[in-house]
Amino acid sequence: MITAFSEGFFSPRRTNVTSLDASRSHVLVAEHDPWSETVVRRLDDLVHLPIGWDGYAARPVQFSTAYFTLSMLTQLKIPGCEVPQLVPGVNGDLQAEWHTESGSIELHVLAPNRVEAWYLDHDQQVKEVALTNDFTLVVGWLESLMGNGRAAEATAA
Amino acid sequence: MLYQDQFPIVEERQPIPPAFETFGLPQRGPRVEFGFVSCALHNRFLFLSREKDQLIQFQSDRLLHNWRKGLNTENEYPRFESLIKDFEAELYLLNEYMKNLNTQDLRINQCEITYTNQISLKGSQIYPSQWFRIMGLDDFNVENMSLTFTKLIHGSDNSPTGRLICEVNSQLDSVGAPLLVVQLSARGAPRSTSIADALDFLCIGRDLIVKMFAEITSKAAHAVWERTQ
Repeated sequence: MITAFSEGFFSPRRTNVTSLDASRSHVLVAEHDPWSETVVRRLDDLVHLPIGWDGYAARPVQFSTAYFTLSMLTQLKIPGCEVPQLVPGVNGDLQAEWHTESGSIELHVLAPNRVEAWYLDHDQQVKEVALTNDFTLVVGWLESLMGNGRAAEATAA
Repeated sequence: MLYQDQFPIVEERQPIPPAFETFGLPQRGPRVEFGFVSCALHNRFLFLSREKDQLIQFQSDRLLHNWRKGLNTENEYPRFESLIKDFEAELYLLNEYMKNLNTQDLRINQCEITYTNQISLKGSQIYPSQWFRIMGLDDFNVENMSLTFTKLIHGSDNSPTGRLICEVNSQLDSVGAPLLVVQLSARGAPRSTSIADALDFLCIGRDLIVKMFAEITSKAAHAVWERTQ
């Protein structure tokens, strides 16, 4: 089998649908995993946003972008890591965000393989990088963010 | 209509959900596949050749070209070099069609090539485990088996770009005889979104699959295939 994927030409429309109907809509999760279930539910909500959800002409999050984000986040699920905030963009894009007292990480998923990553560390230094499908760098950022966050919480306690 | 001359038979199926290879944390356990299927999607259309041994599959975000042996044992595999040329022509044809609609080239974000081999165990002189270097189940009479492993594919700068996925499963053929199904896939992102780079990924993936198949199968298996070819 030889396959090539593309996105953007045919956005899923809500007319002439014959493959899936509302009664068959369901969430598929391999095992009980609250972290993943929360992410999946939020992404599911974002792909169902109505056109113009911002009061103007914003589009729902693209189906392929949501799937890519799901795949990306499974690569970033370090122990103790909070579920990121998932914020829709107006062009079918979305942002995954972690904010703690010791810094912030924002991953702007423009489309599959097109991610702008932004990190504000505990020294208020900003790092910004364009990524495709390798998020090893972000794992390091998250470990620093969560590690520093836990240290701050321990100090405060 | 696109592809109608060579693929005149049309069928309709449910769409295949998107699949992307991404990298980050080291994978410590089996890959857990999960996703959501609550969004309205267009169907997948199958365009089959008259002999039904070749087909194009098309859905809103995918184009696939398959060859299958089917039940006709005389049907010979046309070889990768021939299939990739056909697929290249089909991709450029689709690109032209889309450009007329959108004034934009196809932007390919993921590629996959899969080989599926059926190894008949009926009358086999060697144990199932002896087909593979990666298993040692001699005399261990299993009812059925399933094995999956993955390897990273690296780009020229040594960063990961995709995965090689190997799956071995026991099954029964159409008359109930046991066989092993070996499925080898290479999937990942092309260097750029161009058709040329997508085809390049498929060629590299094919070479890796051929190499992996030779690596995982045993000398005893190679000897049997040599005899039967």
